Amino acid sequence: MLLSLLLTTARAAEPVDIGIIRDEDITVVQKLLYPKTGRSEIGLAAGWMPFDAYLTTPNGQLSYTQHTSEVLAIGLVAGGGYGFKTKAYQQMEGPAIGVAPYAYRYLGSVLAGVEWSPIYAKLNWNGGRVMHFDVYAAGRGGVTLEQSVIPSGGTGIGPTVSPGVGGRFFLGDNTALKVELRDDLLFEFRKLTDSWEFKQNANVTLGLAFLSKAKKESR
Amino acid sequence: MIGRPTALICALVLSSCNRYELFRVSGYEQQSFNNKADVLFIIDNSDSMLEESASLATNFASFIADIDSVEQARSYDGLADAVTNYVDYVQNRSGFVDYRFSITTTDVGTDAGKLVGPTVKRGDANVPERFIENLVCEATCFSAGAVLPTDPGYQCGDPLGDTLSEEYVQCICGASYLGNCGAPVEEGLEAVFLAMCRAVPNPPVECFADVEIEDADGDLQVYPALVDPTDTLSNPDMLRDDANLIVVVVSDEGDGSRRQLREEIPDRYVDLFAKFRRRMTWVLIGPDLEPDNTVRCPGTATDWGVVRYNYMVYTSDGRAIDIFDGNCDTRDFDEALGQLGELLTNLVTSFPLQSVPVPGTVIVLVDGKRVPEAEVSGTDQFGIETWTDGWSYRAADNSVVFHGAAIPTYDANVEVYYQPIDGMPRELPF
Repeated sequence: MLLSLLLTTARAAEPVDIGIIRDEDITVVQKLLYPKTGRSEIGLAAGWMPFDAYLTTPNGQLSYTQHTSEVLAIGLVAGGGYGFKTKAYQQMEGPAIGVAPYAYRYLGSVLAGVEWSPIYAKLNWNGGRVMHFDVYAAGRGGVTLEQSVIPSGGTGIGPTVSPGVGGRFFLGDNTALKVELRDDLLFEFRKLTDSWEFKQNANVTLGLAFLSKAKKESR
Repeated sequence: MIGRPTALICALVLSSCNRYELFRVSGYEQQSFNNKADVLFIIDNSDSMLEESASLATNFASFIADIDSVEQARSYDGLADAVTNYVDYVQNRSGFVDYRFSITTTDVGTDAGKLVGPTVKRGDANVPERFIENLVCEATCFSAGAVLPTDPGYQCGDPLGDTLSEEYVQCICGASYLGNCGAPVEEGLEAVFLAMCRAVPNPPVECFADVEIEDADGDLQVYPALVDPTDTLSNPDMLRDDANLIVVVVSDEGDGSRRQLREEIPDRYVDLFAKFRRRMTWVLIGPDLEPDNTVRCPGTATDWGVVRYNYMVYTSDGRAIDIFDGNCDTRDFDEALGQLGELLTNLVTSFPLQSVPVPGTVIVLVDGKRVPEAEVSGTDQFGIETWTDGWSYRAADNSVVFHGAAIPTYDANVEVYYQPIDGMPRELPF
């Protein structure tokens, strides 16, 4: 009896070896404050195409996105704008040089595609506010309407592929600041030279996204 | 953090230049318009022309007054005036025609293209009076039997009124004004050629060569040269390098110039004029033609001689103005000079291009509106193509030519875009 008691007391006093905890054994689960699954989103954005030497194009974009999961969404983006001559273009077509690039300006586009959003994270902004955001890559296809800068030089609709990257910075339950960089790659027919040409419209947009109300159980 | 290769790819993708063909832009702004007009009057000074010369003289002062009206009303004090003047310049180009008027006669045997009197220039004092003096005293035939109306109240120095009176002519020409009557064969084209020979520093060799031509019988006719190298620049102020030359032939006869025998198309003279490389516009104040190229008012004018002048007018987008009214009497020259004024203010119908354009790439805009390309609508009595309103490309001088109602007005802004066939001739600064 006494022996039995001693043995029991001895086991209780010994440390239990549970092994070594490695970094990969630790999983940090970020609490998903702003879930997207099942929510639809309408976005309004102002954009600018600054990378063309001869045209600078302010534009506006309207988007509709349906989030099928936290990482996947399908969407439609329609936009319009107007490509203005840059100073370089104006200088070239002036009397000193007398040359006009046969450039085509962006007028509008309609694109549809998917967004893949594998990153959801938060950041600490200036030691104060914690901001939740996601990062996505987009792949879209559609058409772009363009017009010759040379008067009466033609108007064309070109098939377009548009890869892009962007992010949503959640401002509230239903609102996010949306930033996107996309590159519209299109082929267009140019009337005066009777040729098909490749063109790209790199577009930086900044706007607001309005999401539908989240289901309660998803919080 | 984005790795270096990724950043490089991003930069390349975003900054890669879109490929644009480069087009030429010609006629930018209104600089292509040339408001310098050297006007050469070729006056028929045969004895049948007294009434016409008198009418020309009595209407010339108001013609000059119309052209000069804007200039005379202008002041030049301060910035406000400068702005006003600029607005006038844009809105009323006719007030800025930089003209020169010279006169010679169709009498090649006597004048041989030498100007009668000095060239009268814009800005000279008393432009109308000086021109009229040249015209009346040096290029008008007052035969012995000529009777001029009298105006006893006229005082020397008074302006010319509605009639060319004996007193006026005596005042400006002297008492012995009779004479100046030219040869009965009017050689207007030869006179223009010789006048130009005298006006340029390096005349073509044909200026100094004898004229050899076979007559109707096949015999060789030789006309000795009428000018020699010592006559070079004997018409010193007649032509400016960058001016349009407007030839105004005033005659009730056709052309009988010596280098062509009764031929309607003066191709030899066309070739001779081309050697001067001048833009020429012809105005004929002369007999009118019927559609079958016969003279409308019966007289001594030959059909073929009048057709010659009309050919020059037609091929230079000029004006042919009937010297007679509907009753075949001498007309009032007011309207004729009005048409000349219109021509002075709307000279340019062709725009030379800097490079040869690729066919199908030419776009022509006038004041921002696209002008359609003209189509050949037929041929005229000379066998020359006629066009619908619009523009056409003329390969001979690599220019865009406007036709009919598409001819731009003087204050129009003409732009011609085209892709040059030989690419861009120089490196771009970008």
